[in-house]
Amino acid sequence: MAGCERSAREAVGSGAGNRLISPMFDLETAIQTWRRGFRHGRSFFLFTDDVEELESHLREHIAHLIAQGVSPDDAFRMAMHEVGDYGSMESEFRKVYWRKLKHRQSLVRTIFWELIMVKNYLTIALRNLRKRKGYAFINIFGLAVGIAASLLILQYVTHELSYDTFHEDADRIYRVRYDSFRDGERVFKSATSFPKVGPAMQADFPEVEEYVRIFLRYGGEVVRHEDLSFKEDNLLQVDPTFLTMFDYPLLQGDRETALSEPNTAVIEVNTARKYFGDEDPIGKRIRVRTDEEYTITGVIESPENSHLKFTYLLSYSTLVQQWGEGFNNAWGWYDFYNYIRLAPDTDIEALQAKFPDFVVRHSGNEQARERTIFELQALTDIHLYSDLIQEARVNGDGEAVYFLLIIAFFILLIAWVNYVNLSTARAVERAQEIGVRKVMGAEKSQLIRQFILESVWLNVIAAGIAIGLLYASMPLFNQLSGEALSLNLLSDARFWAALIGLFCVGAFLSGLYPAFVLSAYQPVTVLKGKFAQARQGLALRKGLVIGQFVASVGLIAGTMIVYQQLAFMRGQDLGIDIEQTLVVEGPGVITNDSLYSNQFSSFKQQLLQHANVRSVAASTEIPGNLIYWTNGARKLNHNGQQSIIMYKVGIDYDFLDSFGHKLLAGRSYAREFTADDASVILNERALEVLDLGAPPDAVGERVRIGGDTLTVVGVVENFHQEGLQKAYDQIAFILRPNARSYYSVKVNTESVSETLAHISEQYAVFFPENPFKFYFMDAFFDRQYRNEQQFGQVFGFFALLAILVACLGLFGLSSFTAAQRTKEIGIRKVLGSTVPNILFLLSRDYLKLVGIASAIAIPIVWWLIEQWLAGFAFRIGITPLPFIIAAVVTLLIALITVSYQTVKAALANPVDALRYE
Amino acid sequence: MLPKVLIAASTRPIMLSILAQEGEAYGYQIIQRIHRLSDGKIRWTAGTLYPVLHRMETENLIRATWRVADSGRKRKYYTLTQKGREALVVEKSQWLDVNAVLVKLWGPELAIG
Repeated sequence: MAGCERSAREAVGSGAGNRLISPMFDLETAIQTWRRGFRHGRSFFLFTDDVEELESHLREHIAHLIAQGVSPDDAFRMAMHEVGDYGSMESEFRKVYWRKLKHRQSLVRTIFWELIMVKNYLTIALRNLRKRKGYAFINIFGLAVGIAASLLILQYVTHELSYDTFHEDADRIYRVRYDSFRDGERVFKSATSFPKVGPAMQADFPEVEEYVRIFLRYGGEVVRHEDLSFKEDNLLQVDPTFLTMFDYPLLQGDRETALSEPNTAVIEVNTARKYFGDEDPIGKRIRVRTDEEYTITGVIESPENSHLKFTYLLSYSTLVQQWGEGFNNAWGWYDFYNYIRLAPDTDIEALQAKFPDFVVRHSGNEQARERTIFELQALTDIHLYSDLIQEARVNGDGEAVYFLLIIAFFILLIAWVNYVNLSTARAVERAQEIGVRKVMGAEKSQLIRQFILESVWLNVIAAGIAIGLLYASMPLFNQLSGEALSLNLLSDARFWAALIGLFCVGAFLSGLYPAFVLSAYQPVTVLKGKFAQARQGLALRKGLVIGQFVASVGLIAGTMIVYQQLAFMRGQDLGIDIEQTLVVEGPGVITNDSLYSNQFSSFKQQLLQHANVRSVAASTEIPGNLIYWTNGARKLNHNGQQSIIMYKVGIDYDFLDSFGHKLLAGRSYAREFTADDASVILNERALEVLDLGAPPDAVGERVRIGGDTLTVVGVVENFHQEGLQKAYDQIAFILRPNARSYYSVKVNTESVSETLAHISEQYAVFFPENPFKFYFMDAFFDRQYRNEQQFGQVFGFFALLAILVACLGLFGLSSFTAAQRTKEIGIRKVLGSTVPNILFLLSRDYLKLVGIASAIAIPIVWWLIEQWLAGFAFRIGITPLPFIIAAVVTLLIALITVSYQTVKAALANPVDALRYE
Repeated sequence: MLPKVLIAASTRPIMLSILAQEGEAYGYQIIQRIHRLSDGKIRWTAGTLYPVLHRMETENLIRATWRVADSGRKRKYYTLTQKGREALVVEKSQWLDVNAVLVKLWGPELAIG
């Protein structure tokens, strides 16, 4: 007995594993059995740890009793009686910390069951999708297109907004721009100012840490390296600080010193490849024009997203050394971009307030305070929000960017609306499922979770497809927009942020409404089968469909008007003839200025001898270009008259004839009038601004332009020097027979390529050191409409997408409404309705919706397009026609879309629809 | 046997006091201790003790650790936390207040404390 007792104590003491000797009672087994009662209890009140502790207690007690001489089985029974089994124990625990356990229990249960339910929800969602393949396709594809379009636009917008943001100090760098005023009126707003501005500001204002001046070699120059020569645009003459203030990636060379010496240059990397191939460009020598030598000291990149684009950076000190101190201290010569970097936290307003005194101090003229206004323009604002003359590169259009953002939002909205529409319309089909779920104990919140999860699920699939679509459509979009958006999206964190953002908002928003509607059904009604109409949310669904039609009508009308304006601008008579005109860029390099005159006339003679060359004219500017040569002008002996900016074009004797300018009074330039170098020919607009009266009266008047006194010998009709966005400018034609920026060659349409070969040949003979660069005038002029054309194309592209997505939704919706009215149609047919009657009945609703949508869309689009058209000096008026067409087209699309379903419903045999009753 | 209400009310001060005296103790030990102290008049069961211990643990009055005792048994030991010690001071003064009233009513020789 004693041995048995000892064994039992050992068994209790050292836990499991020991065998008991007594054949009658195995203590260890008894404890395990007792314990199992807890393990199988489904309560969350007791955890393993608690049971563990109870077991330990039980063992203590048994050991204690055995030590007092009680037999193991009695000890166990007594101890168990004291400790209690699962049931008594749980109720004790429940008493004491019911509240806390209740909380823990519900949390654990929620997580546990939620996980099980998630699986169930996904399964049900998948089954529903499979059951209704068409519905699934419409929903997912619509969402995918919406997401893809939005991402594409976001990508574009991000690109546009990224201009110049890569400079580390972008938020502290400003361009000093210059506004010229005369008698309180602004004459022009210029991107450029005087060369003295930068250095003087740094000297005067401690806030200005650094300055950079940039002088754009306007019109480009011929650059040569050994035998290679190219005409290069975008040559910038820059201060050495250019490399330290801006963060253009410098691939080779030293930022501090690369441009500090005269005759040094930094070359853009692609340009370097063009000149030097694979050779190291450092130390190579180039010649600009005939007399400027530069040594390459660095290689740099010129990123696309900067308002400055360059092929060469030439050291600024070269200008000063070669052409004089004017490039350092001229005041009033506004051909220089001045950028300054301010100390952190500088008060911009306070700094600008000091500028008037600054102007007076440096001009030495008290009146200059009113005439010369400097303003600071944030570096990052230049690309999108600048509207200045003398800009180095065509700027972006902030408005177009926001227009696109609105469109992106609309497309996405339409896709989401589709989802909401289709999900609620399908409520009838799923009512039974919901009823069963509710009867089985589903709470409303669980059903809401189910439907939101379902929309998340659909959105996941849609987002996946959207990425595919994005990749597929990127090249097309790039072609339409003229942008170079990269396909390298997947490594872009912002792209993912946008995708996830769109995804979350979309999944949640589009899931929320159906979730609430569907979860609100009363199971009793639904399961009794009385629930047949999805009347709930009908008004909302109609509202959403109207919203889609509004977008469709608006986008169609908008696209049409954009194209109308484009066609109008292209078709408008320019007042001059630019057809069949070949423009040859004049020679940048000539051996001897004094010989040029003869050289050119021989060249001209050679060209004219060709049967297909009708005329050759030389000028400093050609139509389609902004005129850079400007001077102040006023009527002579009218000292009171304010000086007005005059755009000047130097032309030779044949220019006006060649372009078909219409002479309103006086004469053209001719060789027999030897005093014509003191003559001027003005356009109508110039007469207006100079107050010279009618054209015949103006002839013989004398005007002061710049430093010259000129006699008006002729007046030409107003013509479009630039695209129709711009109003007529006042233009003065000055006789410059030796002008050699452009040669305009009128050619016959026959065998143009042969004519071109002839011109090129002759050009090489007369101007051997110059590359032959030419283009056709009409194409050149047309490039001014590139932005509008691209805007139209992009607008149209997305309009199409929006309509596509809207149609998908409409198609889905109509199929459900038709299904809902099956019985009604059956009864109507039995009572004698004809098929056309029923078609009309079913289509009438959509007719009404399109009507309402048009009524909403027209004023909105009218207003928006009016804003857009306001940017054009010459523009079309808005007529009702595009709106009528848009409404009719939308209606037709809607009818065709729904016709598939309505025709099917109308043709159906009423017996099929009614026999279930 | 004491009525349930009285047992329930006195559990906390008694347990805090025992833990304060012993430094650390496990459940069975606490029950035995009370049994002895009350001459068998107060009998706690596992069902009374452990839930209260657990609640005191979540209230941060005591702290529990599993340890294997010298005898080789696994036991869950409880010790007082700082908060537990503070709670004991409060409980003590409250019970003394009650005691003081009873003493005045019954005369010192009949008082419980």
